[in-house]
Amino acid sequence: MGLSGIMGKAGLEIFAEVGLVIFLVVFAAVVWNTFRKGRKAELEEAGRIPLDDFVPVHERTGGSDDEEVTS
Amino acid sequence: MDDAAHDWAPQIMSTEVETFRYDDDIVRKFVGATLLWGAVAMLVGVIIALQLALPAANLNLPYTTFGRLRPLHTNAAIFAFAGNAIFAAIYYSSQRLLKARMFNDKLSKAHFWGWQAIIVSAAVTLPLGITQSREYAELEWPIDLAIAVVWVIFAINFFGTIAKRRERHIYVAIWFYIATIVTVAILHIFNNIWIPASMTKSYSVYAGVQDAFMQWWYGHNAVAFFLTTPFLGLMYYYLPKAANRPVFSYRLSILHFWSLVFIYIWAGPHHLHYTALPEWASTLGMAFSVMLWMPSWGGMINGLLTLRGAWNKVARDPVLKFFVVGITFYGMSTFEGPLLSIKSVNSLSHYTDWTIAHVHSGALGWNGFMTFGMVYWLAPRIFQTKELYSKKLAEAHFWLGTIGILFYIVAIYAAGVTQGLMWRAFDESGRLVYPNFVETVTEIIPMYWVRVVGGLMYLTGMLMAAFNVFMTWKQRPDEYEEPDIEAAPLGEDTGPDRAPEPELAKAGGVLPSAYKIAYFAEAKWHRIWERKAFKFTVMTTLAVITASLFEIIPTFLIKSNVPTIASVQPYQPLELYGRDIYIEEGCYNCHSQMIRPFRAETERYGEYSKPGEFVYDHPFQWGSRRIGPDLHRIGGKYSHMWHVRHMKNPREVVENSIMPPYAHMYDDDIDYSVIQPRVDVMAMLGVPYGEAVNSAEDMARQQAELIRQEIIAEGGPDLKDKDIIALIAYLQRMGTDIFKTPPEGDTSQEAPTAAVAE
Repeated sequence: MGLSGIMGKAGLEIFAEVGLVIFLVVFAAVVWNTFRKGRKAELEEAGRIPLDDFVPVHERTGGSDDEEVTS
Repeated sequence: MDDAAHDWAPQIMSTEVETFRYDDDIVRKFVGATLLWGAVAMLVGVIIALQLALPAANLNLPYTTFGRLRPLHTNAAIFAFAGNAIFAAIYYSSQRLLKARMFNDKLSKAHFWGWQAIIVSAAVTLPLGITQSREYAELEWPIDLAIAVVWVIFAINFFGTIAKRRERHIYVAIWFYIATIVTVAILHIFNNIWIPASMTKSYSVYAGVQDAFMQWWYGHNAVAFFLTTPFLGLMYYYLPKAANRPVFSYRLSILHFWSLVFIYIWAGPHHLHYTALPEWASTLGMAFSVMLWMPSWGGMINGLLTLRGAWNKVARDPVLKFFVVGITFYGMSTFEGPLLSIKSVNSLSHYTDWTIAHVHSGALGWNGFMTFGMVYWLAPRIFQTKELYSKKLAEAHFWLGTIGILFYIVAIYAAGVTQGLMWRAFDESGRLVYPNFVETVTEIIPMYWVRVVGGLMYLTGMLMAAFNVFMTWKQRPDEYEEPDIEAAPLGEDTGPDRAPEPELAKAGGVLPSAYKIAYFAEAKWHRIWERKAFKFTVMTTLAVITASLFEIIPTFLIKSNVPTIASVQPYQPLELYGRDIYIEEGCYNCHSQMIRPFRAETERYGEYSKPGEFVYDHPFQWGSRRIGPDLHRIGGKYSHMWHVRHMKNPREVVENSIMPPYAHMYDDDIDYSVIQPRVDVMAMLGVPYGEAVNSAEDMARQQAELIRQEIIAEGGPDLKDKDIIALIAYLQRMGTDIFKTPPEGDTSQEAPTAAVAE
């Protein structure tokens, strides 16, 4: 029996179906969690992380002032 | 403009402060490599585009034919140009997003030099014809191993950096990078399971339908996780930087991430519509592809809306211009992708230049322009000059590149649709209007010329970028400043996400399980993922693996579903060797071996292809583009002598053919010594070779002699032991078994009948 035979007889099909259901549930939960009111402020803050990368040397295009270290 | 984050501070404060420096040297290296390999990849692209318009550009050398250079072009564009760009993006942004220097400088260097060595070895081996013939995974097994090692080095370095980060929340760009690293590793390993027959030759353990399925699971997800997710990570970091404002909706970006991770991996089978792949798999692939419309467009809109209120900057800043057009092309390609995955559309588009146009709108528009935007933004920062050497030159590059892309894709869309319609055109009496394939090629040659012009414009822009960055580099200071960065280390995670003991539970009267349900319902686990890199990675990996298993496991079951065709027998040893020549020359780049069950195809090529016909095809050779006709029923269609003349000079036999001549096959001798080990590997893979396991070489010699004499009898030259004989043996065998009478008895154990070409 080759690889395909072994895989075919291993009875693994159910895992994929259970996986699909778990996927949907987890995904729905992620959507709900991300978009519920209570998290808005926290996540908006997190969205600002890139703007604060502590590069103090040069002005960036558009003349920002990201020199300041905020930690 | 000043809405930057000064009123914001990390939630977790600590009294002690650590001092560290970012490693920008590694970023400089990767940026340099990006520009160098970008120029090479695009130059080779222009050369092969020219070869299709002007066959003489194949130069009549074995190393420079379209079939050998096209894999070089795709590999260089994907893994050398886009690959180095991704690494530059990741090394610069991850350190800043995580507020930490890369985990280990030596690993960074090993990653850089290792990757460049892999690229060089690809550039040497592909023109030599050393290839697995798996699209975008052509590199042979020793290089595959090297890729795995370098990828592990990269992963250790990257996850090590996450582990010592000083920013609690892991920004969404990092999520995209994590998904890239784990998924590419999985794809690379599972698509490259082979058994070596020598240092430069291996055979895929999968055959036929399974092999095709694995390959396109890989091929599609390489687009998803090498050309999409890392570039989205790039977008979510560099676009806010260049625009100096946070992304329009961070929450939408989270949704963008999870929907891509959940959906993308399922879409691979859309590359195999109407092939011998089972119907259900193909429909599944189509459904998930159509679902991808939404997250992709959500992401594009999120990117473009980031610029709301800053469009005046776009007019002044070439960096933002590149990003805006890049993101727009992301939207266009991800609109078109699902469209092409719809079966009825695919029946027209598949095997035509439509696919090529689609790919290039993504590669040139999205990957290329996002890379250029990033490089122009990075150059003055990593080389510590006040400005880019010439903003005007960058502007000129932007316009030249944009017009170049339009020239390219408009011409090639037109070529694809034109040729697709010509292939299926019937006249009133029900006969093909263009029965001669070459007519459909001649028709699109003018569009191939337009592509050459568009490609040249894009290449020129690339060279302008390289020059601009080089001149910026020349203005660098004598010594780079390495500013000290101060940030507090992450302490114990005592943030708000540690679920407090609920008041109600303390007060009694509520079952502990109710507390657990509440905990789950508040989805604290997702917040914890967002902060726990390890858990996050595990979840992403699980998502990818589960989806993959759902697709892949049934393909291993297919063997029992695929009706076995008793008359289909393994290739004779010489035919196997001839098949390897077919692979070496990259014939699959222009010829499919998959006749779809449409009347237009069966009229033109013959009986449609059945899954059971490919059970000994390690690897499969279905191809993805018909620059020349399908070859699955070529066996017995022409005389040996026809092939002898045709391979030597195609235009002598088929006027207006654009196929390169293969003169070297008439000089190179068959290497009989390699045949036995190859047959042995095939036998190891379960191909019932019977007697050939002991006498492959003798059998090959006998068959070669027979064909040699037949050619002489047809009035041809004496081609004793030349490669062309083996190739003819293979071509004459191809697709013929299905019409033979099955041998008596248990066919699967039977030694192959010494069926030589008819």
